[in-house]
Amino acid sequence: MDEQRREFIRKTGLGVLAGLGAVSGLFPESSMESAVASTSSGDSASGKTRWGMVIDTRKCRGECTRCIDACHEVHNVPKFDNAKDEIKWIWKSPFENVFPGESKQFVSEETREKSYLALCNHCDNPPCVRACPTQATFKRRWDGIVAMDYHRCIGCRFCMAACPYGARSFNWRDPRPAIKKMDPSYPTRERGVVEKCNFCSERLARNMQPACVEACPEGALTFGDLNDEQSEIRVLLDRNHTLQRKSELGTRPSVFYII
Amino acid sequence: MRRMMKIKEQILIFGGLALFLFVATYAFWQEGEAKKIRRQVAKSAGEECIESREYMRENHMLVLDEWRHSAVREGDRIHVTPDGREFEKNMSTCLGCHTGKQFFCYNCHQYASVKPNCWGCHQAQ
Repeated sequence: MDEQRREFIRKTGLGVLAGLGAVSGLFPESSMESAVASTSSGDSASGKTRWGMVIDTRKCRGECTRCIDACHEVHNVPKFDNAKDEIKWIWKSPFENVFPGESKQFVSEETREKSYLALCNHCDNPPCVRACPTQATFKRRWDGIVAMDYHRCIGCRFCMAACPYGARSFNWRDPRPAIKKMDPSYPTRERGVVEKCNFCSERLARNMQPACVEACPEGALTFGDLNDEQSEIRVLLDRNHTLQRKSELGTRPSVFYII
Repeated sequence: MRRMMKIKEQILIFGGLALFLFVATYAFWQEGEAKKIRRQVAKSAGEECIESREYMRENHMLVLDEWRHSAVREGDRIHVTPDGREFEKNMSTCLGCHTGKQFFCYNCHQYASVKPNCWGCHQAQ
């Protein structure tokens, strides 16, 4: 190639690069990615509601599944027998699965034997929301619930990979035949979308407590506004030592555990 | 003899062409109106819809889309009509009056060959 021509192409390329760099510097909004400073102690905006839950595992009986049954019934969650197709909004797991970061030496027998309740944490800094390419999953500005718009879900499952709690399930099959008792007041999902706990936003809109909280015979679940200092949930948090799942990741879960 | 053949061939060719053109454009020769489909607007005529019949006929999908967006993403669950009536933004609000999805929805959608997938998830009560 002609020496002069090569020089021209080289300079043009450099100029374009420099221009792009300057543009992204001038308009930080449009640059690659905006990292949000995340600490596990950060407070969300006050004045707004932030729904949260405290699970008192001391009250939770190991064999009882009333909360799970109630939730899965009102939300038409299908029941598949094989683990691969399983859909779960709220479930029970052993301690080491729910709290993999906690100490493992000399664990009490009770802790070893017991299973712990897990559900979507409705994180204040939700990684699934950042992963979703269509904004099908989003954090509601007014109450902090991490909600889903199933119409937008394209089934890419990025959110499932992003969620550190395994709180999301994918509909590999048509869920309808696997729903034992259909509740006509709530929609089902379709094959090809991801689903998860919605903190019973449809019940909250009618000033009702979440189905799991209502169903618990021991009163082990407490639901309320984390931003309201007078609320029952804040009183519980003040009086007890609580754990958040994998708090070291900085997702700031809204579900707390009293062990 | 050869000339006769040629004329015969020409008749065949042009006749075939004319026939083809007639068949291909047959649909456009039809005059008159589109077939009327049975109308079933609402079971309970007690309450009026949120907008006029003509508006809803043309824009119901936009209304549903707007409802979904504002209810799910903005938390604004109540629709207020220009004359001050309030409706909950919910599929079942529509189905409260427009009962029987088979008739009310399918009637037109089938005719227009539109296949929305609402009923894949939503349930008609």
